[in-house]
Amino acid sequence: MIWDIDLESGEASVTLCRGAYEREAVAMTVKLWARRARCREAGSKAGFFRIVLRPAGGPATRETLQALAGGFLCEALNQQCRLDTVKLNGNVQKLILTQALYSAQKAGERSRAAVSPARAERLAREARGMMRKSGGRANGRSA
Amino acid sequence: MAGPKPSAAAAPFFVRRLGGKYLVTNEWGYHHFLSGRSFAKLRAGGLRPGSGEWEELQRKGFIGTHLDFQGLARDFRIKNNFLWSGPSLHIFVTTLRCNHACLYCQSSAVAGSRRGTNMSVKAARASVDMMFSGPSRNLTIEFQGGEPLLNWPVVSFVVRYARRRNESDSRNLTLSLVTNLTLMDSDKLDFLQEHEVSICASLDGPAALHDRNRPWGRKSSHAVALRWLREIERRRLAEAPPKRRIFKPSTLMTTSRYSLPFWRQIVDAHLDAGLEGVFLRPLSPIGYAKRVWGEIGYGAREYVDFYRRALDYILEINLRGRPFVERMAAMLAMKILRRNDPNFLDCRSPCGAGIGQLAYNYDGDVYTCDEGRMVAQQGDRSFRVGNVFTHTYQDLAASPAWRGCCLASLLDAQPACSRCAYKPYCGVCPVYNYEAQGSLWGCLPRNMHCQVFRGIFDLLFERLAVPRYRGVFASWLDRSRKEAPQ
Amino acid sequence: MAKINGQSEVTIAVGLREFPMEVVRFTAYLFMDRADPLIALEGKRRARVTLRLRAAVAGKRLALEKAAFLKELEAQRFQWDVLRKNRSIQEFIVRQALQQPPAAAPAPESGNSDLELSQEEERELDRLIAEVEETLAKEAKGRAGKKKDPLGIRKTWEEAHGRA
Repeated sequence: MIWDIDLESGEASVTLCRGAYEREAVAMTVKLWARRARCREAGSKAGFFRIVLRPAGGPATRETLQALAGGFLCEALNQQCRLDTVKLNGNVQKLILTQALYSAQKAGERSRAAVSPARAERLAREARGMMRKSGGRANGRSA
Repeated sequence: MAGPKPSAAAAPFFVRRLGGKYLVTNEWGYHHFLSGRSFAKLRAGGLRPGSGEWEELQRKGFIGTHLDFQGLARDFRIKNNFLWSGPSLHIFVTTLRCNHACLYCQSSAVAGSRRGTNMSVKAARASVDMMFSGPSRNLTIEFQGGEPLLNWPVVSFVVRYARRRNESDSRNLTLSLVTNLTLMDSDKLDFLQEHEVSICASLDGPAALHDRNRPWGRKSSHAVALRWLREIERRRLAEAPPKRRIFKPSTLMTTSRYSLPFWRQIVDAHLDAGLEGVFLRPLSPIGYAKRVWGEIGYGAREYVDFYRRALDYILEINLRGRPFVERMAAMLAMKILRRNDPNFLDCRSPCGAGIGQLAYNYDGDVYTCDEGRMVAQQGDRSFRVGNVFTHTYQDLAASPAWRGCCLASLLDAQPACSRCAYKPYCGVCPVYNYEAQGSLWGCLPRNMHCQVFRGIFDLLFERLAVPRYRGVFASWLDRSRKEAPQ
Repeated sequence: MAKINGQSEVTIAVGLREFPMEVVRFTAYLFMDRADPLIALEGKRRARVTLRLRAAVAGKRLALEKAAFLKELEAQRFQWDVLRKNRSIQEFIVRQALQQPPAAAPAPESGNSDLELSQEEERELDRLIAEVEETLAKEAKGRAGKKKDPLGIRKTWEEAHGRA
């Protein structure tokens, strides 16, 4: 079996081999699953991680525990494959990301704060006056 | 240009089996269909140099020992030219109020009485100023909502202010209004046409389907939309010669579960309305739609089946002599056939969140994209990048949401995408991943967005392998080039 | 192969000399659309991939899944090999591409690098804002009066049907 289900304690556990899953991948999975499950490492033996999962809410039936454990295994492999992908083409990733973020971060020629503080205050006074005159909030209606 | 020595006969490429053939693609946007035998030869470096097939593969960058580094670098630049500019699409959510109660409303529209969700003039002005603070030469303001016409004074203010500012800024500024048209009148239309604002209306199909998806009290939203679409087109044709840029009206269609059996009727409804195309859009479980997905949603296979039938019908219409475009297919065809970037923000790497578009909410909050804003309407502001009153443009660009979306949507970083034959043409949506799968990264093998696009690409490439269909796609691209606004 | 608790599970042994661990992992990853995967090592030379299929399948179907996995493993080994061997070429071309911006997209030039609007621009803006204020005020006045709306066009759906 790829997981162990303990209905009495309402927990599922999975055992991941360290040669197949890096600690970083398992740690990221535990973090991502924080909303769905309480995860703890317990009873790990040499060469293995053993993660115990308890649903964050709702009943701990066989089906929910199996779904929890299966989902955790999928996510752990997902994260591990991401790490593998970074090792394969991390340099290209950095090149493209840097270009994309750098280009978007440059300000235009007439860069400025969105509204200078003095003008913002003046506009705010105008807006408040406008609201009072119109007797409510700004509105749009068809003519 | 000298480059690294190839260590494999085959250059970097991706492969997928399609209909008995091998589709090979590469980073530079090229594709080629190979028989099993030719593919085996390519793998082993056994294609005969100088043969017709070898020449074509070499030209496309598939022969590892004969790569034109300079040419391929140029191809990469052209295909990814968005990497050099910042956000070009700026969505102004001028109000959340709406007079419709659409089943799928992802914009999370609120009742018309909630006037506190109108954008103020002050916020509008600050949003325009923020937009001009960015580096992109091309700027598009797209008015969205709710129903933007419910805050007409601010819409008209933004139009005039943006045009006025642009007189000294000299960007390529375009404006677009997305509307249900039920609040349109002659004065508004005069203003919009005078200020060269293009109009995009919602049209989900024939009246019964449209009005079911988009309830408007006991009235027919479909009838009003059609009336105004025809009026807009009539005015456009009546002005000859045109004194300014005049845009044909366009439509957006949203596919709910109720739409799926009516693929033919949806296409026919667009034809009958005198429109030149349809944009078949899948629905995503984002924002409000996530809550009602059980009622109105569907699986990837169902959607791809719907899309296939509609697209095949459209292709036959074209072959019978009536030009009619499916817009998503046209955009993807531009990437596949011309290796060019059609600015389809959903299908690029990284996606448009932040670096390609920004959404300005009525209260001045700015989001990575409109989908990110919809998530905020359900109480989760993870995709907020700042506020027009308290942040500078550089603050927005430095926000974790902006950077996180950029990283998570880079296909080279996604395990499945980095090896997929459709990588040169596809994209992921971090907001979709977050909503559907709980993280920006998602888990692509189980991701419906991925399954839908994989199905669409399979379909498109199968059709592109058929010469008469390929001709139809090419004609769409030729038309779009000729038909820039007059 | 075994069928357990009404759900189907298939286990495949893979030699790590023939298939790198990255390839084994990625192939199992691709099967996540229909199975929950677990990878374990048997010594240093073999990996054991267990796929627990979410739908209940039996007999011949299980054998088909195993065959599909082995076929995909071969395909992914080739793909991995091509990408790995061409990594430096890909990096080189991307680097070359990024060193030069595309010809068609110069940064916008503006003759005026002032950080504030000119006086004329300020006056223009004030005029615009005043126009908008006037429109809003008129509309608010109209709402306060009893303007007829016989077709109920101005009513929202909620107002017409009595919901807030």
